[in-house]
Amino acid sequence: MRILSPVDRAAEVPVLLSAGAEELYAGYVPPFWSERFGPVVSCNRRSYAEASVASPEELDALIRAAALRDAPVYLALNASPVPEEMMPRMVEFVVDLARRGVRGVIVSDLPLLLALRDAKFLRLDLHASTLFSPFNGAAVAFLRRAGATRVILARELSTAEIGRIVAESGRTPIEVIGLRGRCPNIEGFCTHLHDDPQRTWPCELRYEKEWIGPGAGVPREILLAMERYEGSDRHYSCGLCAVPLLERAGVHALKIVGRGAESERKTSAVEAVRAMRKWGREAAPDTAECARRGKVLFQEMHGRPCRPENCYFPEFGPGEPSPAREGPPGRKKGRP
Amino acid sequence: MPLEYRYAGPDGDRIGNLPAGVGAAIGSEYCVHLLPGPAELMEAVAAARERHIPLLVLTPYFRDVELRRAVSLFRRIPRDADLDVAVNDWGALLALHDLFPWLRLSLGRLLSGQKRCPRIGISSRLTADGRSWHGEGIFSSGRARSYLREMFGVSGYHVDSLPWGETLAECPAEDDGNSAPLHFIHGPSAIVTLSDACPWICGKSSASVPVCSRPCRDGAVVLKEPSMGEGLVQRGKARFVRTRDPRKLAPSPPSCRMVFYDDLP
Repeated sequence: MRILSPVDRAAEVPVLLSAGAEELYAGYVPPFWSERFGPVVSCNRRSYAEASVASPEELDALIRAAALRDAPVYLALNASPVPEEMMPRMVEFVVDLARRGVRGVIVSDLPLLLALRDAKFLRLDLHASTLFSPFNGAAVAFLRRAGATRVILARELSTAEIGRIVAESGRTPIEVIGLRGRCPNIEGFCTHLHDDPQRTWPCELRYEKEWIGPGAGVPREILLAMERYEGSDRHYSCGLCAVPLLERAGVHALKIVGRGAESERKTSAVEAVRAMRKWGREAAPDTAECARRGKVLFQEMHGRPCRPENCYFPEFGPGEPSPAREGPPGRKKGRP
Repeated sequence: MPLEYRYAGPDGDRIGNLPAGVGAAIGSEYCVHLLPGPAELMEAVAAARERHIPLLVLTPYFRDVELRRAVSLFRRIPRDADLDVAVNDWGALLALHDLFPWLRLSLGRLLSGQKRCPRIGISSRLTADGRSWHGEGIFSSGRARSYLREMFGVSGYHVDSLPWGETLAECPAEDDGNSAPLHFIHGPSAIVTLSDACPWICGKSSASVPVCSRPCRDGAVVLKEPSMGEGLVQRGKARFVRTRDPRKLAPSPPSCRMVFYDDLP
């Protein structure tokens, strides 16, 4: 199972590859898109500049640096919809990316996927984004039929469910997202606007709540479940426990979330996944052993135990309960 | 006058209360536990047939085991039922079309591509084109419409009437000689976002309970935060925003259907 890391600048490439990354993915917004739609509507689902490669020259340098170590670079073009009148320009843009050495694009727009399939690239992979919400094997088949050469599964699946899908997927490589950036909502079905320059997203806000129903107020269990994600920090999202089992199941690549994050955070994430994978290969652990080891690695990485709201794979057992929330509803503090 | 559907509950138990001539929508776009069981589905089909009204079955996303159960459910539908299925899962689209090619399939709101966050209407950081982009979707693409029609028999699209984006009632006929797809315009609530974990079952995944007693049908939570404008309503796994009553839109062509819900505050 390959380790797929986010990258934003050429200078990060050697560090990430030395840390253990084997594939890289980046974002770049072509001028024809940003001139039309402005800064918030990105073609790669990140509305802040740090999460996209700054220029074509920087993209070339990044691809060259990766090519020196034979690491493929994929480009996220995962916004949808791509307007019909813009499609020829988008395909032309992808042709240019392929010429520069990009080895694949990540798409979530069905018309774009079809257009790229029909363009018959010789050496460009078409990755169907998790934004297609593939929860089952039939969805993988649908996407393969539409031209996908790799499918990135929905984040909410268990290791057992993933294993069954991989077994049914034949030669279609399956990618799983497993570290950092776990959204409390199903990303493919979330239509919230992520426009806050402070990067507090709508699912992380603290809301005032009013109960409409029998009884005096919001029932306690519902309130606790809803408040679990308010004020949480997705930097701590973790699926380390699952790494050995995902590899054993035949998952092709494990993706780390984090375009736009500081370089040190990306590197530490890659190192953690590599360490867990190495341990898994040597120890051939069972589920319980994976859970224990994953939690130890999390503690080493973050200096505190993991928590349920940060967990990609809850079947490995709950982390520590979250501390009681403080403060009024509204924005959370401390976001860079 | 376009045909109107009203939501008659997950199992269709309110079909008997519908005014004459109004179609019935049942099931759920967001939770597999709000789909009717086999007996309930057959009762709904029979009730709709008796009242000479069409039935619209709303379906959500499915894990593998859930999709197998859904296939068993749909296997029971008589071929001559006046019934449309709103599909919100690409795998379900493939499975239902391949197994039951006679079923009238339409693409559900979760797959439409429209964005419904109330912040879209008030964000000062969006340009006019950027705002309008949020109302577009897969139904706007001739390539997608042709592909979905030819490969999967998709004959309609479920959408929300949003303050941003194209005026759905004015969609032109297809230029390759095919008739315009149906637009099912839903309101007055739209799904903004959806989680797999349900607060009504203590934040567990809906997949972790084999059967659910549907506690979400007993109440809802109104959510307010200044940057979100009017606010949201959460019921079960889904968060909703209030939109326009589709029945009050400007007169629309015969290719439009209205789907009205009255079960949210």
